[in-house]
Amino acid sequence: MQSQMTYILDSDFDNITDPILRSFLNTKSNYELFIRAKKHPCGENISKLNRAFKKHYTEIQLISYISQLINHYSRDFYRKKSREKYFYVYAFENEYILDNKNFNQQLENNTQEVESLIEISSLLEAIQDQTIYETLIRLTDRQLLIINLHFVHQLSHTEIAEKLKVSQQSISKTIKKILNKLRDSMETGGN
Amino acid sequence: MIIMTNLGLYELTYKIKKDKEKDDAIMEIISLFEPKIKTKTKTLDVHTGEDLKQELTIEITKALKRFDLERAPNLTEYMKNKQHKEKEGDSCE
Repeated sequence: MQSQMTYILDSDFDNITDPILRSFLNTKSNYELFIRAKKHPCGENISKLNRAFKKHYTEIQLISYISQLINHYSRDFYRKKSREKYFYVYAFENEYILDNKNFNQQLENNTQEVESLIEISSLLEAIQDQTIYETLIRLTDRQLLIINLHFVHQLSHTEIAEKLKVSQQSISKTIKKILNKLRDSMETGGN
Repeated sequence: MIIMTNLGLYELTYKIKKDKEKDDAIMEIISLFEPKIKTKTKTLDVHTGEDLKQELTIEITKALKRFDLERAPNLTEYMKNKQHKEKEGDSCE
C-alpha cells in the first residue's frame, strides 16, 4: 500500500496524466495537502490527503449521478407527456360523444374493412378504359383505396391522411406515384 | 430567493442525507444544475417545464438520500485500483 502512495507522491504534477488526479490537484487546498504529504509523508498528512481525494471523487460521482438522473428522468417525462396528450385528446372527444354516436363510431370501425372494399370496387366499376383498368387492378389495395378516396370521394390529401392515420406527405407521394404509373401505362398502351 | 452557501456538492448531499436544512440544500443543488435543467425544459411550454423541474427536484432529493457518500475510493485505494487495471491491461496485450 505504501508503494502506491510513494509512487504518486514521487511523481511530478506535470507528469500526472490521470484526469481525476489532475482535477483533484487543480484545487489549491488539495494541492497544498499534496505538497505537504510529499514533504512529510506521515500518517496524518496522508490520511488528510486521502480524505480530500475521497471527497473530490464523490463530488465527481455526484455530478455524473445527478446529470444522468436529469437526462433519464426528462426522457421518461417527455414520453409520459406525449402519451398523455394522446389519451387526453381521446378522453376529450369521448366526453362529447353521446352513446348513440359512440355506437356509430364503433360500427364505423367494424365496417371500415368492408367499406374500403366497396370503395375500391366503386372506382374500378367506373373505369371503362381497358388500359387504365388493367393498371388499376395491378395496384395494391392501399393505393386503390387512396386514389378512390381522392378522385371518387373527393377527399383532400390531408383528410385521407387523417382517415388512414398516416402523414399527408405519404398520401401525396402515393398519389403522385400512381398517376405516374397510369400515365406510363397509357403511353405504352396507346402505342 | 436561494441563499447560496457555496458549499460543495458533497456537503450539500450530506445535509440532505441528514435532513439538515434539507430544503435549502436541494434548492442550491438545483440551482447548480439549472443550465442543464433549462436545456431539458426549454422545448416544453412554461407550465410543463415547471412541472418537470418540480418533479426533478423531488427525484433528485430521493436519489441523493439513497446515494452512498462512502462509496468513493480514497487516494491510496484509487492508485491501487489504477495500477491493478494497468497491470491487467498489460497482461491482455
